[in-house]
Amino acid sequence: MKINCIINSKPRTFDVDPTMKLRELLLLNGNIAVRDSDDSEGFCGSDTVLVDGVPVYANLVLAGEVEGCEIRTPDGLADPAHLTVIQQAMIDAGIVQSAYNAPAAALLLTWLLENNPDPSREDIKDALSGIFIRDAGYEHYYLAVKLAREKMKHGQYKSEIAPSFRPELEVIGKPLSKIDGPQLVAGAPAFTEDYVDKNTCHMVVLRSPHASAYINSIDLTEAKKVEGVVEILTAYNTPETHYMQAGQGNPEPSPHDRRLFNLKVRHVGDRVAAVIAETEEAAEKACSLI
Amino acid sequence: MADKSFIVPKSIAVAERLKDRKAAFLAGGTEINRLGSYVDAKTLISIGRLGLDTVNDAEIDGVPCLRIGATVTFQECVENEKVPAWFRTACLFMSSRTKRNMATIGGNVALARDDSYLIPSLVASGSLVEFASGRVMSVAKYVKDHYRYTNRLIVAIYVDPQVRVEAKRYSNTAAGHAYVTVAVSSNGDVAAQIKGAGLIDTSEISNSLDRSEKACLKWIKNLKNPKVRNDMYGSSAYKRYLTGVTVATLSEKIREASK
Repeated sequence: MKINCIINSKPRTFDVDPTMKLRELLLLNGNIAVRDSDDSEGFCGSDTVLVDGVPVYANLVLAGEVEGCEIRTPDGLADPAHLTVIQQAMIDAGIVQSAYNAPAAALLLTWLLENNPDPSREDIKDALSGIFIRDAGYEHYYLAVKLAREKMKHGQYKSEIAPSFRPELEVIGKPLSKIDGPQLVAGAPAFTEDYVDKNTCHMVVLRSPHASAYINSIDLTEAKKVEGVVEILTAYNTPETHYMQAGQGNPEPSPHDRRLFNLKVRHVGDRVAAVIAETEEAAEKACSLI
Repeated sequence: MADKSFIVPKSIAVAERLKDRKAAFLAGGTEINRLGSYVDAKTLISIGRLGLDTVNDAEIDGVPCLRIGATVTFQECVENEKVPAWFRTACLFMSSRTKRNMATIGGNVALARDDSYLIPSLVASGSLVEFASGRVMSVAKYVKDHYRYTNRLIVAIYVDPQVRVEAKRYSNTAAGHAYVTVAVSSNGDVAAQIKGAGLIDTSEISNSLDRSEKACLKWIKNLKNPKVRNDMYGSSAYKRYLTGVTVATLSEKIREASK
């Protein structure tokens, strides 16, 4: 189906399966800032975009539904070298941290201030209610909006961002912006998934339905016949190397009690096998045949 | 979704003709398109552009009411002052503004989920559902027999703007599934929905003049069918207790408001 739409003010035409998710369509167009919440539940909010001026979850919209629509994505706001007032205010207020959802938050706050230049705290809270993972909690988001409004109105911040200590020092005790803040808030490539080539293989993990069990055997015969399967990993063909999965320190004090795959599964969802295939569909099909 | 087909029908009549067991009507998409959805359809019939997105004054049997189109979203209801306050409150049970921009009134009713945001309030208020054929029935009857109407397109919900409803929803988190939702209307009707059991039989308490906590707890304790189960949301006893106490509390609120 031909889909004609406008993405970040540019007319675009795609010839795609109309049941493709809007997020996949936007990825085809290079809009990597529309991140994958990985939940497709409409919960995390990383995939927030504006369709005809309304915030929606791109993973819950099909490509066929945006025919004739105007779409705005976070990476259409600005580039890392020329941030908007709102994006800079987010960095300065300290809400760009792990920042996976920072582009979506930037889009929502931009939308909020475009439609409501004088939002109350409840308005801000409501606008952001579609994003679950928010670095720094609520207060700094209110500060970011306040700073942005001050900059728009007065050309500078009027509010104190954070107190400053140790006047004799330049860095310690000073409110400083995150160095990679611009890259993160603008949705520029920053995470591992942003650097994955299109032709990369896919991996699907088969997980245990049992909370505590021993694996007696694994039959991969039918699974290996699926076209596109590259390899299937199990406890039988992976090293017996033990490691600590949580790893918080160096040297890591926690016991190295984890194996990549084990013949004993310890919880529902524990790894049993991993199928590596040329497409996600092939990997999932092979997984179902194990 | 390479194994599915997508159709944009030109009219409501065409949409209904296309519907069969392997097809689903696609409105907001918040259920059909979500990971783990139980809706398994090979054909998706998009109804978003069939003009079902209006809110109008209407009449049913000479009684004024409000007609809310099936594809009106939760947020559109929240922002429309014609929509009664209790209905807007039920829409706000969906905590995510972004999801409220997508989820539709008709979709939520059609799914008849046992954790529906709207159904308890709609049932307590005596609201009606209209199909494309023009047939109108109570939301309560639709929910009870919804398996018989899977090929029917809901085009609107009718609500009484004069009735008042108090409702309460219990969930572990704002975005979590509700395990108990109770609604009581100024008409005296009670609707209670429990996850795993769905709408429970509230006819006895709805007809009772005694809505004291003691009476409500006695009623719910003795309720046999449908069965309320123990699950991750809580024990059967806990959910029954919560339902009973909430019926009493909301009944008192309605009573106080009517003074």
